Amino acid sequence: MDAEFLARLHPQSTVGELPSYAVSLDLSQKGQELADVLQKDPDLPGVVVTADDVVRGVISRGQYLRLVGRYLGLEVYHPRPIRLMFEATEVDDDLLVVPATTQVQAAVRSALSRPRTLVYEPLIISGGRRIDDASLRLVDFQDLLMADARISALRNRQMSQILSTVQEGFLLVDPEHVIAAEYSRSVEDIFATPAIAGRRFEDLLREIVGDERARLGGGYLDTLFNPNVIEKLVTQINPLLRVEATIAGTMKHLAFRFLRSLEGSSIERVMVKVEDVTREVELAAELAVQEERTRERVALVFDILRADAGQLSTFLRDLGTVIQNGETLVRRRERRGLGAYFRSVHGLKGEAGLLDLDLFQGELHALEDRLVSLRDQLSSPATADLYDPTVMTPSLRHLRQLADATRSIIDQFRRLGHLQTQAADGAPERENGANDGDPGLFESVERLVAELSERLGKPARFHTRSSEHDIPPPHRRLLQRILVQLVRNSIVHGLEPLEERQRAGKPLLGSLQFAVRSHDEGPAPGHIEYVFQDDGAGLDLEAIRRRALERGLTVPAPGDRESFAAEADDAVKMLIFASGFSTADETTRDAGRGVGLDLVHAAVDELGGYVVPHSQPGAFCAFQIILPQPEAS
Amino acid sequence: MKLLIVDDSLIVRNAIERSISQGQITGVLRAEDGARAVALYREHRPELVTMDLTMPHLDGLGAITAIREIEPNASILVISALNSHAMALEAIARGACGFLTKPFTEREVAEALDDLVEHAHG
Repeated sequence: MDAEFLARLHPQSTVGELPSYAVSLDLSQKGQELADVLQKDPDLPGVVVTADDVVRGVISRGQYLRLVGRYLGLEVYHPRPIRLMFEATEVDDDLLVVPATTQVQAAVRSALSRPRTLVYEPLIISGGRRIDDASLRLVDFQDLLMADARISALRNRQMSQILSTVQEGFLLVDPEHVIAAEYSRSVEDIFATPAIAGRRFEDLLREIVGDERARLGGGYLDTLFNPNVIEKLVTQINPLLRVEATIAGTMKHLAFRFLRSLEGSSIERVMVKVEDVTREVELAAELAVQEERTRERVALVFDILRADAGQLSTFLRDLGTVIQNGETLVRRRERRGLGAYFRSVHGLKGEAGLLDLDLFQGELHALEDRLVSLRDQLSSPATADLYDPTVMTPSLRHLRQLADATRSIIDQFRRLGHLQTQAADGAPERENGANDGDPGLFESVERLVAELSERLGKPARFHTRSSEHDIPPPHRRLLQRILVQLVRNSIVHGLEPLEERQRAGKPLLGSLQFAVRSHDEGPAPGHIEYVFQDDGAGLDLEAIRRRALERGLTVPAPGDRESFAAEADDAVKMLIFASGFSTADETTRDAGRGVGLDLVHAAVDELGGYVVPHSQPGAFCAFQIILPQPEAS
Repeated sequence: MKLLIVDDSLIVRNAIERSISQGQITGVLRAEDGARAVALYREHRPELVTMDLTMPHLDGLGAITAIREIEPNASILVISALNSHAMALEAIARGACGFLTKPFTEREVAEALDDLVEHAHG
């Protein structure tokens, strides 16, 4: 037999590529002639028989031998027309005719599905569409089987080549979750485990993702083997879609996908595709950081364009000091000075708010959070040992980045000519050079009022009849810091919610007023008096008293006699200046730290002045700030 | 075919109902908790069910179990926030055919309902 054709086969070979025979005899020819033809070519699987050039069927070598093998078979069939033999064959309607383009493996499946006695009959292939086409040829069943074996071997080799070269990890599991022998080489690399065939999928998982995830993974496999489940409609609950895994001591990110492998309608196996996506996850994280930086930079540009250049310059210088002091606290692990540092951060946050520098304000708020937790730690001997100022480091580092970015943006603007005024560090201060000082103080307070009142839903307006010229330059920075706190305080705590104002018959628009008065004579000669007043609910003395008691402060008791009661109330009012005092129940960006009024008090004190609160329930709250005239003016 | 929408949120019930593009769904029933869902199921035997998991008066898991006891071939699609993988797998183990996570788009619901209709036919 010519077996050369086997060497030419490939995994997709068709029956048309197999050796085939097209010998035909007419039904009227003698049986002896069929015998001669079959004897002449021992490979011939049979002949096609025709009548008047129309194909009627096939007499295979097997059928011929069966008939002539009978008693007197040769004597009966050889001398007579082969029609007799043809009519005696068992192959009537069971002829298997397939197109020449049929793949070998499909043809084998069809051939093997024939009745048991006819399995070895030759296969008939047709080049055309019609069965009685003259192009009918016969293929020996044994050739077909040999071709099939060859092709299977080729496919297996191809499969193992694929499995050993693909980057993706492929493996198959059966309904018991046992891993099949065919899996891609990469699986071993990804799991850093050799020879995984025969192991349960969960057991393999458990070593790298832990019990809980492994159990979920196993549960998900059960879901896929559950015939009631719609495969497409469970992909969202794949617990291994992205999973952190510890492999050979390294943290990796793996992605698992699952695909049912159907045999007919039953779910025989589930194919698992596993990929190491560590790099992708890392890149995505890096990208997110980049995007955040870009977003920040854009936000910074807007902040810078909005801010007054002189104020921005002052802010950046103060920020530099705050960062430096913070770094010193961290380096020396100092506990003293934490309170003062806290106040300086809070003050700077106020300035950031005043200048609309949202990013700085947010990060300074975060830094405050850290400081609060440090302060709380120190307040209890049990946790004081755990004092670790390095928790401030990320905030400090971010602030420094923001400050550097701001300076570089300012530089770029200046080079482009967009910023005319001096704005960077080290630029000469305008309060010494320019005659009219900082024209932006009231304007920026107005802006802060607008921003806060919108954010908190309490409409308010800032009024003043005074001019900024009335404020001596050395007082300006101080007033700027103080006004931030007072405005904030008024809008957050003082002004009532709209419904309440309506009920009380007050104008819905809250009023915040500021006035400057010089005292050349009278009770405080040589002093300047600043008054800030809102028309809110006034100080809630009860709440202050209560909160002060909770904090363990000494609280003057309301006296029996009226005059004492008034004195006691005045004393209670002063409690609001205590460090860390707040009646707010939670900390927000706007209130609740209890640092604001403390800061006002400390700042005024520093300049040798004093501050007096005034309040009438339901009507107003005012702060009278009296500062000595600066010597220079 | 009839569809029973089970969710304690009116907004979600409306959104699911709005997403129906299936010509084969001819009737819609609505329930705001598991107990009511089981009662409606017993009475009307809808072929399709969408089921929330966290609800008052018998949660989704309990309702799935009860409905599958009434009709072992009920086609139930869970539409719920994926709070826990374990709970999602439990819902499937109790007899849900699929799981769509909230928040969803109307298109996602429409496609899932198509799959559910096909599954109910098969």
